[in-house]
Amino acid sequence: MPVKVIKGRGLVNGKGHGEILFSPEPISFYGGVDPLTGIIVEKGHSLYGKSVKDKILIFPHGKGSTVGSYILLRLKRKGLAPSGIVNLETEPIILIGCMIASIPLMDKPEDLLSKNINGKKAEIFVKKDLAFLRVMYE
Amino acid sequence: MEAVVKVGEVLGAERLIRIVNAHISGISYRNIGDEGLEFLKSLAEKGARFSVPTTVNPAGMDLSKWKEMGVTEEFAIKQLEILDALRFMGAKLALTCTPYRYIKIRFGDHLAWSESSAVLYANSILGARTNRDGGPLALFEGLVGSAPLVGMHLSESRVPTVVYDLSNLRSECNMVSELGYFIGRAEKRGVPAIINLPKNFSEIKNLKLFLASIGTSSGIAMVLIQGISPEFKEDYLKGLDVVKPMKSDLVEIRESFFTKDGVVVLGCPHLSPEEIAELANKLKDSRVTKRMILFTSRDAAKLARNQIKLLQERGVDVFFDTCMVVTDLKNMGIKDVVVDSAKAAYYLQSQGYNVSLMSREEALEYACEGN
Repeated sequence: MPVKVIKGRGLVNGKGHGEILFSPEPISFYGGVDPLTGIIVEKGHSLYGKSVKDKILIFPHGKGSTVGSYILLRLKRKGLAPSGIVNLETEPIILIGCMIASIPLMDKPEDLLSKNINGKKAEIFVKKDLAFLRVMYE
Repeated sequence: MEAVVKVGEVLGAERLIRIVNAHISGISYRNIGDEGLEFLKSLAEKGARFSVPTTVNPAGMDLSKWKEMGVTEEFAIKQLEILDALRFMGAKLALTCTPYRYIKIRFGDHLAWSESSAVLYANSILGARTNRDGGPLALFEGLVGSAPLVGMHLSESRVPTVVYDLSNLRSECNMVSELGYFIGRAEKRGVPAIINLPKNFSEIKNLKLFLASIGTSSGIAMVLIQGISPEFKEDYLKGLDVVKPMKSDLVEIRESFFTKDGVVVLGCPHLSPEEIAELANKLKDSRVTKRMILFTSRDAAKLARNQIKLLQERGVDVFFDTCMVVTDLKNMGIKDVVVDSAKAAYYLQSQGYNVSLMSREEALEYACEGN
């Protein structure tokens, strides 16, 4: 099984694995993701109707209300959170959300990620200065 | 500490700076839910304490009149638990979006505030320095007592990026909310300078509405207003693009909100004691024919006790500790509202209410129609 390792900047330590869910658009967790189901409910969003549960969620950065940080925590407590997040360049909403919810987070991936990695199995690993995403290509 | 340092790294801050005060949003149980509550409780239990004076935004209900607001007992208990956790950590439960009215802020003070209308007021009117921090970030900054030295904390960020010349609007001071919303929507970021102000624009009530409305349609944290902002300098305007809004620009925004009939709801941002006195004075000899609700803080109420009593006698409801944006007006059987704030108009419309936007004077006339 060919594997590709993509390094990035590690922000919140941890490891997780799951299918990749890729969004070319920013995500607002407050109002955009239902905290009771983990499903993306923002109208017109390219991931509308998809669940973030146990996914390696890849999106450019967060947007919207900073209450979004608490929504990540809500999702985690209910077992509905992504197993890891990769941003192009993160901002405080996602960063603080991942910190308080203990969701592994890296940003600035060295390779530009695109839609064709959607659905691939992947693993995220973040520990201090070492952060990478391992994508399994079948 | 780790959270604040990390945010600083992500934002490219060279170091942290000591702050003198923090103000936290995300207080309403409706917004932060059980997880927000649990998070605050666990912080309090772990011994977290604010290291600088810290105030908090409005809650989801009036702490004494929540039953009148149609709030359920379950909601009330959870809301009180949130407030208990914050109090335990040492916050002052000001429960207002206008903390600048009740705490002493000085020119040049570094703050960690997370209520956009208050951030705009602090930077633009008081010359204090704060970014538009998120609720959880301001909470951590209040615990740590410092904030990343970036954005509005730096002098180099506090210079104008565009000029708004209001000379076409000399007599349009009754559309300050629309004007703020217009500028925010057009600019999104940066530091607009505002020159050639309409008459009466500089009244505090107008500035509050104007700034809150800018904050609603943009990420702007500061404007430099001629004759008002302590950091406004004519020299800085040279070479910048100049925009001259027309009355029709503002009318278009006003007309994007419409309801045929509605409850008059004022107090976004929270009314000051002076604004309450002005309303009481205007309603002294009349009685409202429409339902009218005012939102303010308990600190304001202490300073305007008699005026509030008079307003209540004239048929006006006055609530403290909360506001129309963070509580559910639906619980009071309200679906249609008339407001004077584009911030309230925007958030209430997005919550599914039918909304009309008018000036405060027009809203008062409307409330007294047929008297």
